[in-house]
Amino acid sequence: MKDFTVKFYLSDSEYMTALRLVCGAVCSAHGLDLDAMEDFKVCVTESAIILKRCGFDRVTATFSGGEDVACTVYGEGGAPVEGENELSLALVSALVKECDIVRRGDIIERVTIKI
Amino acid sequence: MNETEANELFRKYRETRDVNIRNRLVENYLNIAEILAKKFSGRGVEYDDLFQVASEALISGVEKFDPDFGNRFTTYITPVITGMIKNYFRDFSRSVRLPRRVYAVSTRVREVMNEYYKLNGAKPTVGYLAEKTGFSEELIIEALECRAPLSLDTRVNGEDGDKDAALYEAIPDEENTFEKFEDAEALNSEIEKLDPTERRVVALRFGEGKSQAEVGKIMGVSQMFVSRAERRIVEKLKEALSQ
Repeated sequence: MKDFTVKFYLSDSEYMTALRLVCGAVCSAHGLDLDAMEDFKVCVTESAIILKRCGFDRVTATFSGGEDVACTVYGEGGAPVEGENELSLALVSALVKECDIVRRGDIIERVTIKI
Repeated sequence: MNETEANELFRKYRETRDVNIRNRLVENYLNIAEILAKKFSGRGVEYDDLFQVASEALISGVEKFDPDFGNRFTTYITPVITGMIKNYFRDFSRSVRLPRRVYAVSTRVREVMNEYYKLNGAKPTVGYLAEKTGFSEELIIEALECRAPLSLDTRVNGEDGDKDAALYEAIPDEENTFEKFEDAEALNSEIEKLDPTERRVVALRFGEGKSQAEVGKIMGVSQMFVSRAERRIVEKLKEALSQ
């Protein structure tokens, strides 16, 4: 699968559903079962919510597929602030095979999820 | 309580089955149930119900967890609670009727999914569901997203930061409903009697189909103000028209 990207303003919360649909389609294309699909949807959208809490106003989710299905979610714009996201990140990490987090201080800038 | 202390308590509980020990462990991890319940709230099921389901899953998880299998409790319990919440959504959240087509697809998909689960102990892929049901993969993915419809009365964050707006107040009207009312002479004449601010609210809300938050932005007032004004206008019109 070629990489592709979904970008939207975090203030438009209705696009979270669009993001979930894209996650579902990517998982389906890779033959993942519905449990894995649901976990992937929850983790990708939760990562976008974490970035919103960190003060970013736009989010970019790039999907790629090889051996694993992966999604890198990163924030742009806005006025990033430090926030308490540790538990959310721990929960995301618990649901997926791999979760890589890029921070600047306590600001979460990028979350990469592999399932 | 750190992880080593908790694991020690889990071992002690497995030996003694002492309810007091179990309760201490449950209390220690209750915040996980709370966070997961919050994560799924606002999707058509009350937070309190979700918290109850999550708490029951937590108790059951504490009763079954064996630290000597080498897993951390948080790693073990998160999918357990998430799974229970998902099951609850599947079984109890349909308070709003779905369009017949989506409902039919969703029901058939669930049947095939359950049959597959019984045979294989795991959920199928969308490809398998498409093959078995004859529906396209796109339709199945859409139907899976429609399993938890929201009530229009669900409380959501308003666009101007108001945290207690009803969903229907945040959705702009796609149709030009004002035109439908234009023929109603009585209504028009009553609208003419409203003060200029109220007439502007009517024009923007029902004429241009803006959401309350959008009207608020245009008029430089809060969404709550528009909401109150709208209620007042509707009451005035109802009263006038019923006379």
